[in-house]
Amino acid sequence: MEEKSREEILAERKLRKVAKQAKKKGLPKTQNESQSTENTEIDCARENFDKLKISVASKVEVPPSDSKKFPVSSEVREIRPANVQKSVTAKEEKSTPSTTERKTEEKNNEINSDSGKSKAQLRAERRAKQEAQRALKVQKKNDEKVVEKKEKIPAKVDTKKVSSKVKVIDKVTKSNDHHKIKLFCHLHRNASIEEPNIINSDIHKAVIKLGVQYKNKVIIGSNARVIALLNALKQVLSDHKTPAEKDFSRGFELVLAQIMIFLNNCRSSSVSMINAVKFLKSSLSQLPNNITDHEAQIKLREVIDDYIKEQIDKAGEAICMMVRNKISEDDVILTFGYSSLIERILLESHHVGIKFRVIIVDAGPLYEGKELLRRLVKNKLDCIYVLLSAASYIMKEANKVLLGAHALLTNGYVMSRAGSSQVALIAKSYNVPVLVCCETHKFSERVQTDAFVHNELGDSEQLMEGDKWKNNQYLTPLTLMYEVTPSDLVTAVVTELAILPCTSVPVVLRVKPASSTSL
Amino acid sequence: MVSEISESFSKTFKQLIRDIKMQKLDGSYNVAVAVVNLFRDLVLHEKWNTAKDLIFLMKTCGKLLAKELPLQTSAENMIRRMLKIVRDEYTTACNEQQEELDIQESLHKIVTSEEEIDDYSKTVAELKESILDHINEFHMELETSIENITKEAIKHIHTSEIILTIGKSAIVESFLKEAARYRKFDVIVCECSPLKYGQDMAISLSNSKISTTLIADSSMFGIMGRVNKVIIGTHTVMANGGLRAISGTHAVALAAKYYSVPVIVLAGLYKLSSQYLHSHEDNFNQFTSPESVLSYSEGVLTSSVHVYNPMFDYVPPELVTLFISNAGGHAPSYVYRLLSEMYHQDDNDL
Repeated sequence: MEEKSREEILAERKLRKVAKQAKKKGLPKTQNESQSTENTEIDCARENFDKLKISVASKVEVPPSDSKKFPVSSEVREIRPANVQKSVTAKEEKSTPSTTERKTEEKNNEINSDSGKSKAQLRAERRAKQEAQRALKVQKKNDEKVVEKKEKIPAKVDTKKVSSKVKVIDKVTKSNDHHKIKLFCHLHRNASIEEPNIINSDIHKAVIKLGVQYKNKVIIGSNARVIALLNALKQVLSDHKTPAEKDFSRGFELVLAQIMIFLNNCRSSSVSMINAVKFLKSSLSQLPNNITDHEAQIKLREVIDDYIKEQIDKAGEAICMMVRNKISEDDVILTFGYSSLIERILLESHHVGIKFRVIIVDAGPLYEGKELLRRLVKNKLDCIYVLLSAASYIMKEANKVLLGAHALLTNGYVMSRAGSSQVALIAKSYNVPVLVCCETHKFSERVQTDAFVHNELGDSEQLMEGDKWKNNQYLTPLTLMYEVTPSDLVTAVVTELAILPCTSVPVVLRVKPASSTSL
Repeated sequence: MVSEISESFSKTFKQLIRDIKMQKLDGSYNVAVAVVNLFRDLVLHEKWNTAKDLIFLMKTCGKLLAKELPLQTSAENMIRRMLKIVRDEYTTACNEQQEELDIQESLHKIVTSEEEIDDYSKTVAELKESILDHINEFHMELETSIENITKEAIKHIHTSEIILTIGKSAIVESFLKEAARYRKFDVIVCECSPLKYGQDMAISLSNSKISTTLIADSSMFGIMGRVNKVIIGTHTVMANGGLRAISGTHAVALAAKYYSVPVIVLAGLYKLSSQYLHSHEDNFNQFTSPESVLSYSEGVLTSSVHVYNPMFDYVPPELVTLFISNAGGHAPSYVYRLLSEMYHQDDNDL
């Protein structure tokens, strides 16, 4: 009573096949309507299928799984449009069966009155049918997976390439899942999103080049990154043509947004970049509506040039002058990693004729300090080079610590290259003053109190060779790019405006928009 | 009569020094065991009649050892310990007839005791046997010290804790592995560049199915905010409770202090030194090749730059929360008491 025998199910299937063939031949669907329940079942299913087919044809969507009741995979594939998305299929699979089942039920109820079968019998039949459907569906799914794997989705050549790439990446990330640390899951970038964006997008080639340079860390350091961005934007600007019936500012803003999304995918944008773009956008919005492309280009190029000159170059110069006054004869200045501003300060102070020594503390995995060392030694500065672990040993010799910054946050915390806080901490324990040098264009309205929420992960391979840990699910190497230094570890921040305590960031930010828009 | 060290003994003695210098014998535990074995031989095979002779012999060796291996404090510590054993056995044997020895030296006793300076020159029967027994006992204690410390593991690590450690320490390794048998927790290992001992440690821990994260030294401060405990090993525990530990430890301890994370130091009692040194003194540090800091292939750069690669950091006692030794847990302020129990005050200068 509860279950139908195998033979019965088989018979059912056979009948369906027959029905399908009949349909293919284009026979009228209302042939033997008043026969057994099984036949009507077939009919109603066929009806559903036809309906669905129509809907599929009209919407150009994935055929719902209901049709999978019939072993008609060839047909299904015909209908399937080129750019099938898996998620859509999944959705359809979930939604359709229930509706069709309901429909068949209704039909069955109608039939019930005709043929006079008992309810229990019908229920049993229905259950058996559903079970058969389920079994078939599972089988079908498996089949389909195989098919998909083998021939992939037929589509345009390039998208196929992309999709296969995406799949490969997916597989990699899946196998690496156990190498993600719980605390940092949110920082893992989904490699699969960024790939397809490049192709078929109208992003300027200068920007694409820049993106690759960001990604491969060819251009690092927040000043270098923002200058590179602004220069690339100038190129984009000169090649930009406003589409008909559109404002220049509107059109360019869209392009700008697109560029920023792309660059953000390559590597998350630095605060300096975000600030520069924000500034550019505000200047865009101030352009008059009827401005010609040419005029706007000239104007914006001027704005960009001014920004680089005033906010980055002149600010750096002012900071140099201020710090120079703080460096006295025979000082020993300790610095960490590489900062373009620190390099400039040290070199200019050296050229002015102050005699001082420099201790460069460096840390993996980037070892940026080596670059600073190279440049300082070239200019005949007296240098000591140690790694971060020896910072505590060497700190007693230093009498000032100069640090660069990635950004200054509104709560007074300093966001900088990982390792800076350790240096500041050790300096504090030895009572050595810590000066952070930072132009105000790197001031951010963001607040952050730890290195977890917003950060970037470094390349684990640089920390440890891949073959040592890739096959070991218990071992994960981790490097962070940035960290936030609490304001109590920093003696003062040197900005182009003044030497300030860290906590003055909000004050500067409040004053600043007025001055920057007046450019 | 003043005894002389026999030739065969001085040969093995020098061989030991050479082995330690060439790092054939590595790790403070191994050094300590080797020294204890050496002195057992000395007691057993050398000619001596009174405790005074023996003490003189041992001090001669000790001076040489301290001079040759200033950084191997565990060797020196063992000499002091042996000397204490000899002195103890002598006093016990002397006082046996008169009164039961009060091990605890109370203030009352010190004040009231008759001013009689014993120069250990009495001939005492069966002194050799009792000293050898005591040394063997101590040898046992030494051998079980790591085991005793690891036994404490589950008292200090709770489930799903995040523990940070630095470099490679045999004792921390076995401590964590022992705890992992009962608890599930995460370990973060600081790489300890340029020597990169952390890598070996991380691999070893992960092979024991402890979920391990290897971090670059630079990420340490950022991560410390989420760490529950810092468990480290040390090279030496100074008399004030300060540490001579692998370079980078000071930063770890400071960061732990900053985030109020407890710092637990695992150290067998053989690491307890009677010295008061800190990083600014000559005997404190050891420098290894700077090649790993700045490669020779950098060429011109290397000739015009000073590069340092120190081995050790000094960690002041106020940054240490707890010592766990084979005698249990102690606060750094208690170290002085352990010292007076383990070493005789006359042996502070060998």
